[in-house]
Amino acid sequence: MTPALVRIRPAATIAAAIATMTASLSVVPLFDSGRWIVPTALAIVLMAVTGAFSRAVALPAPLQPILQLLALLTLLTLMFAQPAAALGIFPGPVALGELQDLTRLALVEAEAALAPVPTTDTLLLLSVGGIGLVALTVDTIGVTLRLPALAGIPLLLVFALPAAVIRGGVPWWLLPLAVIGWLLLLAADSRDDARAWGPLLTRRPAAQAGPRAHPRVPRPRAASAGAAVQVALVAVLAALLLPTAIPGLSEPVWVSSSGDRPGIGGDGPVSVDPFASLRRDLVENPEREVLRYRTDSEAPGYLRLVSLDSFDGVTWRASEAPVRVPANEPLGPPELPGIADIAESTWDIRISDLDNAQLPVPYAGSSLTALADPLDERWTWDPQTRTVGGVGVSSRDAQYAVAAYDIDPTRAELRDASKRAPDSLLPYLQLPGDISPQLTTLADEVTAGAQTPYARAEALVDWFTEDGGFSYSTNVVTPPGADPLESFLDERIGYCQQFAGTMALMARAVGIPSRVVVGFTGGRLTDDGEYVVEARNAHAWPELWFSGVGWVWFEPTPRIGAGVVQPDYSRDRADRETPEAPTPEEAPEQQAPDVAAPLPGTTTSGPPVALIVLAAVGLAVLLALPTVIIAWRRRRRTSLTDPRARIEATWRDLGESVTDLGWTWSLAATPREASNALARQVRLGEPERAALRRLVWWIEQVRYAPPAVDVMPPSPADLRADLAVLRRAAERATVRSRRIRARLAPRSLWGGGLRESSVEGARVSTRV
Amino acid sequence: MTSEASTTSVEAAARVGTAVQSVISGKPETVRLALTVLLAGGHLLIEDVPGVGKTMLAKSLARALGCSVRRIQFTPDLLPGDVVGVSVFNRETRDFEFKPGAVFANIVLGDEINRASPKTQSALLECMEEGQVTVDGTTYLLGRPFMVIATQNPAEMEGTYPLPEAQRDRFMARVHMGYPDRSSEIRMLQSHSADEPLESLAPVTDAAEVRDMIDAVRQVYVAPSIDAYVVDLVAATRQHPQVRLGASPRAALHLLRAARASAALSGRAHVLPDDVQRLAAPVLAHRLVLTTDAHLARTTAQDIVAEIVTRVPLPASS
Repeated sequence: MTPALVRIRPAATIAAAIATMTASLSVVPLFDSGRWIVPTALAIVLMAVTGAFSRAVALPAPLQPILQLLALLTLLTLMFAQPAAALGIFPGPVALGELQDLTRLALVEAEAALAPVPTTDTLLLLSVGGIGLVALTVDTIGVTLRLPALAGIPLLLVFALPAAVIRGGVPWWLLPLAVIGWLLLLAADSRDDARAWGPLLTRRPAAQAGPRAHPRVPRPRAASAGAAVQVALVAVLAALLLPTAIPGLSEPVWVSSSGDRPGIGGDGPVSVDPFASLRRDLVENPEREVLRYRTDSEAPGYLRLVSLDSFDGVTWRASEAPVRVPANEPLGPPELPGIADIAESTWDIRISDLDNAQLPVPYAGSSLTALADPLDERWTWDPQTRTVGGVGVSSRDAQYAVAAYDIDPTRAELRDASKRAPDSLLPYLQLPGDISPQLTTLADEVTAGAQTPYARAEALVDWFTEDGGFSYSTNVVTPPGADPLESFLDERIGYCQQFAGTMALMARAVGIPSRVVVGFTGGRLTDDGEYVVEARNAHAWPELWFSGVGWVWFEPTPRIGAGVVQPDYSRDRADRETPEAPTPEEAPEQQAPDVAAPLPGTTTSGPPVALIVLAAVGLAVLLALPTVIIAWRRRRRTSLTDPRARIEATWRDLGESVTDLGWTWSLAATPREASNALARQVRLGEPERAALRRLVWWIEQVRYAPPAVDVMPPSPADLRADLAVLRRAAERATVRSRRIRARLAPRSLWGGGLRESSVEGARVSTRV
Repeated sequence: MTSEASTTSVEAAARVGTAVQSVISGKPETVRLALTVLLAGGHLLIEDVPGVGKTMLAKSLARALGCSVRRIQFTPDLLPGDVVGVSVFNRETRDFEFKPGAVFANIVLGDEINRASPKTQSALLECMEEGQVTVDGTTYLLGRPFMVIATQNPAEMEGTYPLPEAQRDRFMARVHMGYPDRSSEIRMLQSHSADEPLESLAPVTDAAEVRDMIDAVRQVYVAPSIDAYVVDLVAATRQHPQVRLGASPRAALHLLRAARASAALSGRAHVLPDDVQRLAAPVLAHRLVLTTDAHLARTTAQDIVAEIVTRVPLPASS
């Protein structure tokens, strides 16, 4: 190999890139599409190419990651902030600022997201940037610094993150894939190592090797490679099989993988796509005011944005409305013969901060008029669902008045509604063919004994809010491969989307037409009679259809979300069994957003698992950092090409290892004094003494013998071996507390280090 | 220095050391120092109270070397001519004829050198430095090896002329015999009661071999950092607050030469800083003139040199 090729280390470079790619495959279950793969792979390849380039031109090691970082930033700029780029390509301050904003947004989004998330641009940025950074780290640690074992830490991080976020871990086959990538890197590095040692093994005559040099045994290379493969195989198999073999250790990782949708799970029982985009808007700041409204309604209900009517087995979606009516044309009153008294109300709604293609309106809105500026003509009613939407429009700063009919049936009216739904409502009864049998079974069980549709609906609400043992958490993720619906029914923990979606499905299962509505809860009533709706009031709930009464909303979500109330017709039992007034903890000011971040008052979920794992990994990395740096430094020192510098550096490393452990060592002492002092402090056996003698002999040769003396210098491996023997001896002789301190806060790293002067204590009379 | 030469030198030196130690028991360091000075081509000043074996050391060393030995008992009335030699008129040849003095020998043992008059002392010290004697305009070369082992009794001050600092500087090293430890003293009583051990001491080498050894020592490699170290040490004596007169450049030279000899005695072809450190006190201490404060504080020159050795850092190698 040419020297340039040796420097570039192509095999290790490629292996590092492959290792990052295989490890990042664990991200697959996080996204609902494969859109992230190509850009991310591009980032990994870019890191490998820039790494190889900087090694080819022999860039100093500290500058290599900087160059790679610049390349990565350029790529990110081109992908995500191109209009802001300096000269069209370069990450100038504007582009960097934009990337920073996007990243912040992405982190917020990621925190609230429920896997698998849609591959939005912001999350794509997170994937490309994050994995690009990992590729950079792996390339730097594994290839440039030649510490492939340590490169496993960033790889593990990539692998552990999805594994931690996704309940039940990632699919089992991702682990061997990731491990194989890393093993490739290890193999490539040891191959380069063997090549570096190779010539020494054959050329070195023993007679010249210095009087006390290592007897060298040629390394059985081929045999060791085979053994390594076997060991790796056994280790990976053990990692996969042991959890199944040992009861209670953990569930085997592949148990959750279902046959028909391997690996990539759904979105929870009810992924409401409009909700996902809305959520990004909302979770940034739960306290953010979205809109204010005034109403003369006696019992203001929720504000509806969009109604989702079809469930495809994974997500709830809104069907295209067959007819749309311009927003300024009034809809007639709903024909509801089953309700005796329909009150009319008006709502003055002023949106401040909501950027949506829907306008929040109450049910059942009938006409929309602009309050200030004329309303955009593109806003239209969907007369079936009585929601307002538009194409290319934004709800921001819209101000409008809505005339609405308050659909507030009495219980008696609801009880009377027992006719079958007309054929036009059949779509609202449709369940996917492969719907979980568990759902239908449960629905039947829960509603057993309920005679009327209304009684069944009541039973379902009671089951969700009280009897079913459900709890509320926004930090629930579905294991990949598991049926999200079954998972929700098993774990009985989730948030409004899941409650709403599941109740709607169960209602369909027992013959009640249903749909899921996304919108806002009523908000907080201010002193001047105005309602303030904040981001945290975002909500989803089911609407059920009853003959003669029409669509009626229910509230299956336990009463923790902001502004969650029960409609009058299903409140009795709640009144009877739970206090009406919210406890102080549940006061509106302290209520947390429904869809956003962790709730302080939530009892069911502790701190988010992902955060704990991240913190633990971060802490572990932090604690391991000194050891890593010292190992890297040792490796670099003992690998110096100039043998004299190598021996000097090894000697210095020995001194620092010893002082880190708290023993006396002085650079100003002669090698013999220093070694005698070490031998006095630390009990040395014969192998250690021999190693120490060898090192002393070499350092004296280097420092004081005539340079021309023809002695074959010790190889890095020899030096490392002797160093290791002595370090182990010193560690054995050291009390544990000092050993731990040496690992966590080594003196040689945090200032101090070897004292150059102050020979006292180390100087002793030595027999020369 | 080839390895064979160095090996023979080491072996010969070891033989001499063993031989001398059969007479002077319990003083391996002193014997080794004497050997070091011999191989470095220097002169040795033995200073101690009477009866601790100063003369015995010198005599046994001389005998073990198998070289010619002359002994001068210095007294106040000893004349320079007695030391270096005189020209006397030969009636038969009707010419002046040079009668060599006691200094014409390989090993010259100068007993109680401080009892001689300064004039006589300086005559001896000049030959020590020059390696030659000039009488009446004619120069006579002294033999090689040439080593003066002078003894000096510090306790008895009456009727003595202590060597001035300039003349102490000519000696490569000063050594204190010190009292033997208990077991050595017992052994000494046993061996000396039977017969004179010096009598049974046979030469283990000869002058030619000693000359080879001295030549071999000159070939010992000195790394630049060792040169710097020696200079640093010597400079430190000059700057020491308790020293009125520090060590001379000649002291630095002597220290380095002694270190070379010490390295050769250890079978090494290069000097280690440890050699320098070990020899710093014997080579430097007797040259220092301490301040009155130091005397009042009862600080000895050895203490000061030892302190300097612990304080002066090793220069970084290259």
